[in-house]
Amino acid sequence: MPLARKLISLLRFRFLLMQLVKRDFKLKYRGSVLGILWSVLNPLLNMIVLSIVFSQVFRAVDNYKMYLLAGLTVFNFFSEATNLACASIVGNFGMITKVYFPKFIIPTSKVLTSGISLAITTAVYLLLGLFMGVYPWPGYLLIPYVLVCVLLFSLGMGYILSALFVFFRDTMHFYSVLLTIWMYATPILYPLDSLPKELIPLFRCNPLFQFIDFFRSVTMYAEIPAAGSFLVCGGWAVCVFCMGAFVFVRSQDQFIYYV
Amino acid sequence: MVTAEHISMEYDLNRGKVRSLKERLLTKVAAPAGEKKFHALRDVSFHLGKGETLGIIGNNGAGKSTLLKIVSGIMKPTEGKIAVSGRISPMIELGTGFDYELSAEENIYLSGAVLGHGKRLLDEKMDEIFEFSELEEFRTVPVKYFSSGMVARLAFAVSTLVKPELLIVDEILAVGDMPFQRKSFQKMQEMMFGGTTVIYVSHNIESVQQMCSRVIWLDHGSIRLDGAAFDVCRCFMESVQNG
Repeated sequence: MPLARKLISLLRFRFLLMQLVKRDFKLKYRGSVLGILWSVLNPLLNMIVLSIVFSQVFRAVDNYKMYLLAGLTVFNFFSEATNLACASIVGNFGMITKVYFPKFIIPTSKVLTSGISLAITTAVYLLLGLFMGVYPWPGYLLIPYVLVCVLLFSLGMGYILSALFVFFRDTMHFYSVLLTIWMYATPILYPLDSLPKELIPLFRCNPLFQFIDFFRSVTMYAEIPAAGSFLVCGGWAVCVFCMGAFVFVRSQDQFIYYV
Repeated sequence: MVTAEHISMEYDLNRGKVRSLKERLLTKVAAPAGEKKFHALRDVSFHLGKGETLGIIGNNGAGKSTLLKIVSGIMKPTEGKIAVSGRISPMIELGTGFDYELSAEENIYLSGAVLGHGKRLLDEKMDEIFEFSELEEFRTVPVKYFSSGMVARLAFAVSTLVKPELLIVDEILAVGDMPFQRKSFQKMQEMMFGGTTVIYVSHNIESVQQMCSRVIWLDHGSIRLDGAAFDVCRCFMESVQNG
């Protein structure tokens, strides 16, 4: 019964969620001359800069530019989505204290806004692939699977971070350091096999690497990932999402005293 | 409509006061960071039937706003139970959810959504809102270029869009210039007298007496009196005059 009521309230507030996503997306590029084009330009320029710097170092990787862009697509989305979500509850204090609505809508809207960028960047990546030797094949149908996994994973992280940030304002600073470490600990710039053999199992525990690896397999290497990869990606996504939702729901009644 | 049973609300005044590391290290004697309690509401119970108009009066700090926030579901009481049925429309502050970067029209959708309205309703009422707020020609102008009176007019029009089942009002909001004040006051009265259940908080005792059938007098978080508007207001006035 309570669950049914929760679901009904979700439906009722779907429009609010849509409006918030719309607002954030509109405001993101409002006032800039190139506008939404930045969604395309940003990852491209980023990729170009990094590939100029690192392509000399990692000559052994074939199609380094695409290898890099695949990793950046996933990681940049994760980084942007979780950062925005982290500050979201505190940033929308005015709304929370004046009207009742399910609070999880706020971080969710931030992650979904970044999700739009993710879709655009992925499209750019695939288009670019046409000129760089990455061609469409039926395995592309698996791309949505891994993107949804990343989305769920980011939602879960976003819930945890946004709740934590309400109680500890150090979260933001701490998380930005963590993200930098995470970025370098994920094989985005370098190939996994450039690492010492003993460390590889450890790096495989990184959920972001699992997503990126899956993404690269279905696009660059035209391979269907092993069943294990499906399970690991889905497992991480669902577990972190549920954990985040649990933490958020358990702490949300306290928010109002701390923001 | 509303049933409140033994509601108590405690605030911890030390909560949210974060002591930074520097503070912790430099304070020689660890100050007792214990809890400093403040009772905003103490054992408040009442029942509000459908169609009743309830006024809440009391001095500053009596717990009126806290009670409103609990009824609207924004806060949960520390103790006690509250049951509210029906669609609530809180008018605790105007312009909730406004984003000043967006245009008037976009803000109506956004703020309307925050208040729980759907797209269809907002589409239907769009023209009515602009007509009421007299802002038709500024439809696509970002709200940041509006004067404060114009923002208030727009916000008022959005907030009073629908007749809710339970209307929660924190002071009657008459906004804008004189003609618009009259218009908004009329609209508020229309809403409050239209058979809706109303909870109305105000310092204007006269208007409470006029608009409400029943009044609760809150004093330091407890109900001092609960009864017919006229009697309660008279007792309140007497107590104020006698200091």
